[in-house]
Amino acid sequence: MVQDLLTVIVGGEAGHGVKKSGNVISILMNELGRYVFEMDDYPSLIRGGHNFSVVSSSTSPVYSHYMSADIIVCLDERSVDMHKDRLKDGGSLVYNADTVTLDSGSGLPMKTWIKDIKGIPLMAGTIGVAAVSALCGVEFSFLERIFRANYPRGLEANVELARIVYERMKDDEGKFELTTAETPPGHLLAGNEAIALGAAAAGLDVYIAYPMTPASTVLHYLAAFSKKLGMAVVHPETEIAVINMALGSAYAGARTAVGSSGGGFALMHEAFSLAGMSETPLMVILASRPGPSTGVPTYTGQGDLDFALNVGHGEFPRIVLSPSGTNQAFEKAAELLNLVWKFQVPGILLTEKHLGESWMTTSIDPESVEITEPSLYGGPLEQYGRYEKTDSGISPMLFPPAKGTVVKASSYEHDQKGITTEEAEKIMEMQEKRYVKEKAIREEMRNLLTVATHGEGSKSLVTYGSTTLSALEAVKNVDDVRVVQVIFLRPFPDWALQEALSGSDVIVAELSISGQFENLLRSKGFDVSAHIRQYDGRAFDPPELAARVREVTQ
Amino acid sequence: MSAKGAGNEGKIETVEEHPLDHILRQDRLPHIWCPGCGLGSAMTCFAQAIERVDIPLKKQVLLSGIGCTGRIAGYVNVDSYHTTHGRAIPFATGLKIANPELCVTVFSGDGDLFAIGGNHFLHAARRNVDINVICVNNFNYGMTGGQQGPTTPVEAKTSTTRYGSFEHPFNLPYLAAAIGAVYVSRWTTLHCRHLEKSMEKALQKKGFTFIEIISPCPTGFGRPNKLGEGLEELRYYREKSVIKNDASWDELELHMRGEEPVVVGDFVDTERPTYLELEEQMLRAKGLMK
Ligand SMILES: Cc1ncc(C[n+]2csc(CCOP(=O)(O)OP(=O)(O)O)c2C)c(N)n1
Ligand code: SF4
Ligand SMILES: [Mg+2]
Repeated sequence: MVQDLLTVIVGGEAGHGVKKSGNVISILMNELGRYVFEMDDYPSLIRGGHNFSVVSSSTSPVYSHYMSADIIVCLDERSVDMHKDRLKDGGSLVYNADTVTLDSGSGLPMKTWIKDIKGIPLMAGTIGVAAVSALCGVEFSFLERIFRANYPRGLEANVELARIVYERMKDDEGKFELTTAETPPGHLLAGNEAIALGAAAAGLDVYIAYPMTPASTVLHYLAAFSKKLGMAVVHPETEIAVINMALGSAYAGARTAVGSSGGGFALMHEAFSLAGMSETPLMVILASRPGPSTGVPTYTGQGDLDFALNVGHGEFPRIVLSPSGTNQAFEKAAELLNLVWKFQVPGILLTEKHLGESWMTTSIDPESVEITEPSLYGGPLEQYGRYEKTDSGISPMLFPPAKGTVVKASSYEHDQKGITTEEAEKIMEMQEKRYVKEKAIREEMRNLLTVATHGEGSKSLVTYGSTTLSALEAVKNVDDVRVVQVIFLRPFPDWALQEALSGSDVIVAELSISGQFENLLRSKGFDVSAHIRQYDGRAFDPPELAARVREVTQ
Repeated sequence: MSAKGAGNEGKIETVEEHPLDHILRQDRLPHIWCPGCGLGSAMTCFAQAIERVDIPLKKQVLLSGIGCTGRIAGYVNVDSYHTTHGRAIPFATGLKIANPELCVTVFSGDGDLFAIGGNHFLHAARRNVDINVICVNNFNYGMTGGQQGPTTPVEAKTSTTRYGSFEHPFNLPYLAAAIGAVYVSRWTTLHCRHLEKSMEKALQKKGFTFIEIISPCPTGFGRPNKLGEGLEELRYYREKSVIKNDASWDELELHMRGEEPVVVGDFVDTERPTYLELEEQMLRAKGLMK
């Protein structure tokens, strides 16, 4: 049977190399010319508990993973209990015959084989990859090439295991006849990597972060490549230090970003407001997980929208935007870094675990990114004022040490020279100057992609962030529904959304119990005819979302 | 304990009832820690200590921040509060002030207590609040993927120091003593008997006590630094360790490799009026309390 869309689930105990095998299966599919979406489900970064990876692939773009699978590989007994009901009709179940006995599926004595070749438990994952490869009729030499590139350590043993698997699965070899293409459709990238690369392409000089899932992989990625990227990467003692270091670094003229999740970003509020007052450019990557408080660290959610929109005491302009997949994440991360420097404001890239830690086939071009330089002061130095009044509200910058003048910035209300003031007129003057920048940002946004419309249909499924991915996949199987994604959330692009919706029925899908996104739309004067909400820490499963969309639109 | 941690084999062995069964929550076991992790031993020592001391279990409260170590609070069958990352010490101070009858212990990791929570440690020790702080030092942030932390030795490789760490780490017993802890000790997870005795002492002692437990973290620290799996890492620490109660402060520095030993022992055991005693003294002196 020729098959285009294929979903594989690999499940096992942490320590079985589950994530790695999910990754290698993704690479294999990508190399076969197929688009990939991989979601890794793990209860914690440490070794206990059940892990699984879901890889959906096809020769046309796959935007999000499916929870029903054609092939399920269970490296332990628990995986069988957890996933067997997710096997599609005609699907294949591969399991570890050393720990479970089933009357259907392919039982492979994984433990015995590993023992025979004196291998390590991690190699159960290798067996899983080989089994999937055999079922998909991938030529052994092709698989061997993938192994060579991805299992540099213990390569021989892994190849030998794969040979044993191929031998055993001979009868089922090529059961799934996959559509393929000559060349890989792109590179596999995780959302956080795309964000990191986007910022790097826009000239990020310094990245400062305290680890917090699901933002930590930005830090790991940039720490690993800091030398290559010519970037300073710092991990201080707390998020409060993180953001204040970042402000220091930006005051010195370095393009700086910070990253965290809800709890860590909560600690940054005081200084976020300082960035607003002192007009210090700052990019924040806020990667959400379900809260409140410590919440559910390794899962996904959209409960931080209100938080992101309203953070910081006092009134000041800021930018909040949220990308969907890796391609857009790359572009919008670059754009945000440029914008915060152009307008000298703090800006937040709001994302979720579903984008940040999922792997997608990606095509990006770092060369395409232009670096917007900030407005720099060129006038007579003795007249320099860091907060000089201009029509746009944007004051030309100088960075210390600036010969012939001083650069005075302040957390207190200040005058145009940066000197503390309590005078009513000056307070008003500065409040207005900052406020005017918001207008300038809105103007600029008219030239940017602030709302994206995907597909056609008379009804609109409206989303933001990575829920857009689930929606894009879901509407493939719903008639007459298009996806409208709001990318900029503050300032709110009401003009663009109005145009995109053009009076259509609006269905809002989001991962929030209270419907923060829906409330935002309503507060901006948009009617919402139906909503679909989920708040179990998981992204929408596309078929389930499709069914719910059909239900509310019928 | 009637269940063994999930090891490589993924099997749960059941044995006859263990004397600590009532202290460790059976419904929560096997624990989530990696094979070879030192946290199981640290927790067992603590369970033994709270069982042995003359303080009813009902008066014991266990607090933790976030991290692999922080998970201990959930497994021990006493009242517990899992606070946010780094904030267990101020929480403990509040609890002690509200109910001085309670025996309050904070059990958390090096990153939790000395990075994000460092400021709180300083002030609780300075005030001599009558709480016990036990820090599992595994030289990294285990839970979030093996990053460098405030105790990571110079040269160590972590996920945020790919070329080796160059920051000078804290010397924890020195720090604790300098700011006023009345009891300070350090052991590795292999020094079970000593560690347990120290815990008993700390639990019974009035004032701010501090115990550092050097513990293997094969996943976050042992492997990237080629110290091997848990047992080998532990053996490495044991071979390097010497007991020296009167060690000078510079002898307590920890190094990545080289000849310097890991000095363990009971370094401080002294008396100082506690925060609440001082408050009472002051109030009495001013005639504000009878
Ligand atoms: C405010 C905040 N920042 C970051 C985190 C993420 N986080 C959880 S545990 C941890 C580090 C734990 O390290 P340590 O205290 O040494 O404990 P270990 O896991 O090593 O026992 C971090 C950074 C968080 N939960 N909250
Ligand atoms: S990551 Fe380290 S500290 Fe955490 S459970 Fe694993 S070995 Fe233990
Ligand atoms: Mg630690």
